[in-house]
Formats: sequence, structure tokens, C-alpha cells
Amino acid sequence: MLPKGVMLGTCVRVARLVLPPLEDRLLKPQLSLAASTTLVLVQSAPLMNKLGKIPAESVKYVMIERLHVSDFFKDLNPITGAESSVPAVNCEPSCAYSKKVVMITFMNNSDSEEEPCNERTSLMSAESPPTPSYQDGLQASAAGEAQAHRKRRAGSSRGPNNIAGGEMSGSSVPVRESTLENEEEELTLKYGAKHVIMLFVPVTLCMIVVVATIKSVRFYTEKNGQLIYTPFSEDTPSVGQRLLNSVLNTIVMISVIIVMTIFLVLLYKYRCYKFIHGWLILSSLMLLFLFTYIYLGEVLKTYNVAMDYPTLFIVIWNFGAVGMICIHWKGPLQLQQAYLIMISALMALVFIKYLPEWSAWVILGAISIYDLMAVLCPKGPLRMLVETAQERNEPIFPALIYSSAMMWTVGMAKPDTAARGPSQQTWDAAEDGREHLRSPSHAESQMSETRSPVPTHPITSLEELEEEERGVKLGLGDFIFYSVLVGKAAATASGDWNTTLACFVAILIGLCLTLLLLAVFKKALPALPISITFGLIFYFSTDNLVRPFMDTLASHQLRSAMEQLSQHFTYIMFNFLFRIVDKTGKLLTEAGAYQSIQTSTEKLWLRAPRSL
Amino acid sequence: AFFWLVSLLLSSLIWFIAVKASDPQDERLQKGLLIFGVMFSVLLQEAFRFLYYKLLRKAIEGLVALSEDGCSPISIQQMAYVAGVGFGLMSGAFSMINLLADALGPGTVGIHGDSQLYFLTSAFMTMVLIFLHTFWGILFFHGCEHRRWWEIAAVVIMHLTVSGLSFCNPLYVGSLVPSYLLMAAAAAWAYLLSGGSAQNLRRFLLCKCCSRK
Repeated sequence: MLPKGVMLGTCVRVARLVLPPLEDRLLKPQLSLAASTTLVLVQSAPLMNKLGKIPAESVKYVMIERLHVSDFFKDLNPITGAESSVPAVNCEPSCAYSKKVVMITFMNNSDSEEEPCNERTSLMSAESPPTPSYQDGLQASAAGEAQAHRKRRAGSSRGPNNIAGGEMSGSSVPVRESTLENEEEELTLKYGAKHVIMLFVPVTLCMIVVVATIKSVRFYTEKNGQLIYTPFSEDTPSVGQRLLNSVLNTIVMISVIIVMTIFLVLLYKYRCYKFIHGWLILSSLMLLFLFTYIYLGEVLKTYNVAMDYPTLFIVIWNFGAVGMICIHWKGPLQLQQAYLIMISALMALVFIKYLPEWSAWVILGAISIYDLMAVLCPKGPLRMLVETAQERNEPIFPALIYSSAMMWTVGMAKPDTAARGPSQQTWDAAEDGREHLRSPSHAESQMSETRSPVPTHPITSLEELEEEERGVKLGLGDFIFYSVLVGKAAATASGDWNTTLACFVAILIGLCLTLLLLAVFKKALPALPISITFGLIFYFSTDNLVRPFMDTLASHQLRSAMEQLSQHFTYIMFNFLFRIVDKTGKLLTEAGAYQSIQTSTEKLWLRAPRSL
Repeated sequence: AFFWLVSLLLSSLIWFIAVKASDPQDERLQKGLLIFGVMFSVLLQEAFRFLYYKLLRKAIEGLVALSEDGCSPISIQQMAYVAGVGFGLMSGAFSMINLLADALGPGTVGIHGDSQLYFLTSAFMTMVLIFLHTFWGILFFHGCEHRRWWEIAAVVIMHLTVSGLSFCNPLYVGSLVPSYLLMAAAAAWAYLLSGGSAQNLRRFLLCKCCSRK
């Protein structure tokens, strides 16, 4: 059997050539040929979708069964529920649908696809759904963003398709690849902003929670020991020793992370899904119950609120149970997002508490470098993970990914869509809610970078597809490290809020830039490096440079000594001010006068010829 | 906001170096250095505003090239406004947020003989500065668009003025009143540049129906 990629490529090329004549055949979905043409057409339909000039008939084709590529090649699944009744004008389902197929198609395209028969192959070949491991999460964020970009394109194409829906020409359009790529880029850029905002909000929320806690609850700024991952203490007399200890701590931490990631990759490679699943559940249990208990206890202590144990038990039990369900199974998207933000914040708080200061900064720097390498180097564990998952045609690690999936309810013509709608929604949320908890328990176990094995159930129904997330995905590890940076800035900076604010802005801008780069490169990119670099730069510079400046300025406002110089200055300024106002007024009147002069001269000129 | 932050960073870097290199005991020198630092910071802010303008221009060109109907979804005036607001917000946040945090705690203002109006005037000053940044953004971008260098120069001079005026403090009237006047001037100018007119204003204020001809 030929490699799938080549087959797909061939199919696409065939599709392009035979597109017009197949229109009528596709109306009656049949096995084998129909399946092949369907798949093919589905693959190329998005291209036409992008063009916005989809022949009305081909829209239906898009609606036809989403075939999992592997299914297609294994055994042609009967096309269930071919949507011949889909109104041609309603382009949205097709777009959404086609995107999914495209995504699946491209997920299955191996990197050895040498024929970029459609430009999209090359665009997405390196992409992968986000990976859940610790650094996978980091790359997962990148991959998630990549996927998000795919989805973004998918989603973004809905826009112009909505517009184009009305102007669908009857002629089948030959696929113009360059136009397509342009359109894709445009769509990406256009609608990328929405997705950037969709990521800004959760990141901001997480940071706000962390900063608020740090500022109010003393517990998280007290030093009460260290994690076992940072065995070297920083209470050393000399600066050099302290630096050395922090570097050693970093080395230990990073090596732990590397070992964990490789372990996870091996587990995934040898299909020990149950182990991974169990690991994941265990770590999320611990996070949701133990850490929440500690957090709640500390908050109550800070605000001197009394709470009895039964109430506490009930509250925490409910919180944790609902969290487990939402995260690992099904739940409303907003709730799931909220839970993910909360556990990221909790984990970040743990880090902030238990990482000694200098180690924290060095670790942040080292993590971003590691992320960069692990995602971009060909032999990096994350990349291997991605490729493995691609080979198996499994969506990689929906676990531990924050998904801001916008459930664009596609207007399906199917009668029972409405009934299945909600279940689909939750299914989708569950699918991308499977997360890898990287929960370094400071008590016992390791970084549980688990990948929840996504059961590769072939999705045969249409609705499940339409509910596929169109949003952006960011790994939870990124949330955690962003929050660690901002929280550390809030906790340890003497410049207080200025530093925190500066770090916050820096991180957001870094995130923006990363998403932009993702749109440009269309490859899986790590989300950490740029943001963390900016954050670190801004932290150190604001703390050491800006703070004295601002403080001196502020204190200067208070100084009661009035010097002759400043009086003189004031006088000069007043003069200047009057002159400026005067000049402005003159300019305005002149402009107005000039216009009137102009109009009057025009009138004169118009009148002149007649008199002549 | 980011750009403003970077400019602030660089200017404080310069100031820091200058301070470190100078004699910490000489108060006049320190104050002089501070003034120098502030002026430099103002110039840097305007420089960064210009850089931001260049960046946005490129972005708009890209958007126009890629858009379907040949016009970008966001106009340069909107971008100018947003840029100004960003600058203003960042500068305001930086000015005020520490004050606000301290204001939450216990204490009395001016108990050591300093002015009691410190918080109040800081608040007003910050507000005027935010507004001014917004208007300066519009004016600046408009000047860059239409290649009117005097507009840009006016913005820079105004900025220098206001910052310099703040050195009048604690004679607060010396800094606040002119700043407000400047702000009014800049507001009117920006309004006119953005296409408003006295007529528009009157119609808006009197809630006249625009369709009535």
C-alpha cells in the first residue's frame, strides 16, 4: 500500500482534474468510488471554500461524510447520512466540516509528503495537535496554536464564506493555489486577532488570580522549604555560591523534566495508554483536591473567616468532583476552561512558593530554551511525540490543553442535530479537555506529564465534526509559567506593581508575537521562549532601572523646595503656552480663511469665463 | 503600551547610568539629571511613537494588500487613537498604580509637611496625561500621514512642556492648569483633524437628528 501521503496527494490531484464531472455523482453517495471522491473532494473543497466561489453543488460534497483518513484506507466506511439535503447556500457547515477533514487530512500527511499537491499540505505537515507532556504542553501550546491556526483558518474561512455564500458561482473553479494561499493568509491575519484575544483572556485571568493571591495571602510568599527537585538551598553566604546553587537546581529540574518527557514519549510509543491515563487521573486528583484544600485553608486564614470541617469537606468535594468530570470527561466549555485556569493558577502558586528566587528565574530561562529546542530540533522528544501521533493518526494529547473552542453551531439541516447538539458540544469539550496534568507534587511524585490517550474512535457522525473546536489551544504549562513569572515579579520585586504590570504587558506581547509567528511560519512553535524572554527582560530592567527613576520622580513631586529655576521655567512655559495657543488659533482661522478664499476665488474664476 | 514601556525602559536606563556615573551628594546635579532624564524620556517616547507609527503603517499596507475589497478593516485614524490610548494607559498605570496601592493602606497624606493634595493632584495629572497621550497620538499620526512636520514638532514640544511643567510641583497650580489648557487645545485640534467640526459638535450636543436636512 502506498504511503498515505502519496495516496492523498494523488487523490487530490485526481480530484482537481475530475472535479466538474463528479458533481452529479456525488449527489448520490455511494461506497468506494463515492467515498474516494468524497474524500478527495472534501479535501479540495476547503480550497474552493477559501476561494469563496464554491459551486453550489460542491458544498454538499463537503458536507458528505467526514472520513477519517485511516478509516478510508482501511475500509471504506459507509457514508452515513450524506447530506444531500444540505442547502447549497449554507456554506458554514461545509466550511467547518471541510476544515475538520482538512485537518485530519493534514494530520495524516506524513512529513514525507513530497507532493504539496495543495499548498495546505506543506502548511500543516509539521503541525500537530498539542501534546500533553510537560514540555509537550509547551510545545502543545505551540502545536495547539498551530492547530489553532489551522482551525483559525478553518474558522476564518467561515467569514468570507458567509459572505461568499451568496455569490457562489455555478462554475466549478479550478483550484488556484496562489490565490488560495493568499486568501488563507489573509483570513489567518484577519481572524487571528480574535483568537489572540481568545488567548489573552484566560492568560490574563490566570495571572490576575495568581497576583491577587500572592499579594493578599502571605502563605505563598513565605519560604517553607523547597521541592525535592531543587535540592540546593539558596541560603548561602556568598553570591557566587548562591548563583552556583541556583544553576545546579535548574540543572536538576530540567533533567527531571527531560526524563519525564522521554518516559512519556516511550509510554506513548509503546501504547501504554492505560498507564498514562491512570497517571493523569491521579495527578489531577491530587491537584484538584489537595492543592485546593491548602489554598482554601490559606485564604480563609488570611481573611480570618471561620469554616467548619464538614462545610469545607462538602465544598472541596464538590469542587474536586466537578473538576474531575469537567476536565476528564464531559462538561460545559466555560466550566472546563475555568477549571483549567484554576489548576494552572494553583500549580503556579506552588511553584512560586517552593522555588527559591534565583532558581526560579534561572529555571524560567532554561525552560524557555529547552522548549525552543525540544520543539524545533528534529530529535527533540516533543517532535518525536508529534510524529508518532501523526503516524498513528491520533489526535495528539488533547490533555492539558486549554482550548478556547468556539462552538460555532453549524446550521445543519439534519433534523436530529438539535437533539444531539448539546451532547456533541460536551463531547467536544471532553475531547479537548483531556489534559496532561503536569503536577509536580511537592510531596511525592514526579511531574506527571501524562497524555491521556485519546480514544481513536472514528468519528462517523457529522455533528461531532461540526462541533470540533475552532478555537485556539494553548498548553497549560504555558499558563503556569507565565503566571509563575508574573507572580514572582509580584512577590519579590520591590517595585511592586510597576514591575508586575510591566511583566504582564511583556508576556502578552510575547504571546501576540508568538501567534503572529505561528501564522507566518505555520509550524508548531513553542509558546514560551518569546514571552518569557520579554518577561525576564522587563522584570529585571523595570526592577532595577525604572523603579528608581519613577520613585525619584514621584518623590520629586513632593519636594517642598521651590527653586528659582523652576519659577523661571514656569514663566517661560506660560509664554510658550500662550504662543502655542495663539498659533493654533491663527492656524485654524487661516485654514478656515484659506478655504473661504479658495472657494471665493473659485467662484470668481467660474464666473470669469462668462464675462469674457 | 508595549512601545511606551520599552521607551520608558530605555530612558530609565540612560538616567540610571547617568546617576550612577555622577555624584550622589550633589542635589542640584541630581535634580538636573532628573530633568535631563525626563526630557530624554519624553524624546524617547515620541521616538517610539514614531516607530510604532511606522510599524502600523506596514501592518496597514499588509492588511490592505490582503483584504478582499482593497481597504483595510481598520483605518489609520483608529490606529492612531488606539496607539494614543495605549501610550496613555500605560503611562497612567505606571504613574498611578503604586500610589493607589499605597492609598489602600492606612496613613495620612502630607503628615510630614508635604502637600496634602498629593493624591488628588497626582490623579488629575495622570488623567490629563492620559488624555494628552491620546490626543498626541492622533495628532502625531496625522502629522506623519500628511507629512506635516510642524504637527509632529508641536506634539513633541507639548509633551516636553507638560513634563517640564510637572517639575513645578508642588506648586500644583503651575503644572495642572497649563496642562489642562494644553489638553483642551490638543483636544480641539485632534477633534478637528479627525473630521469633526463645530457643527458636528453642536448637532451632537443638541441631539439633533442628522438625517433631517
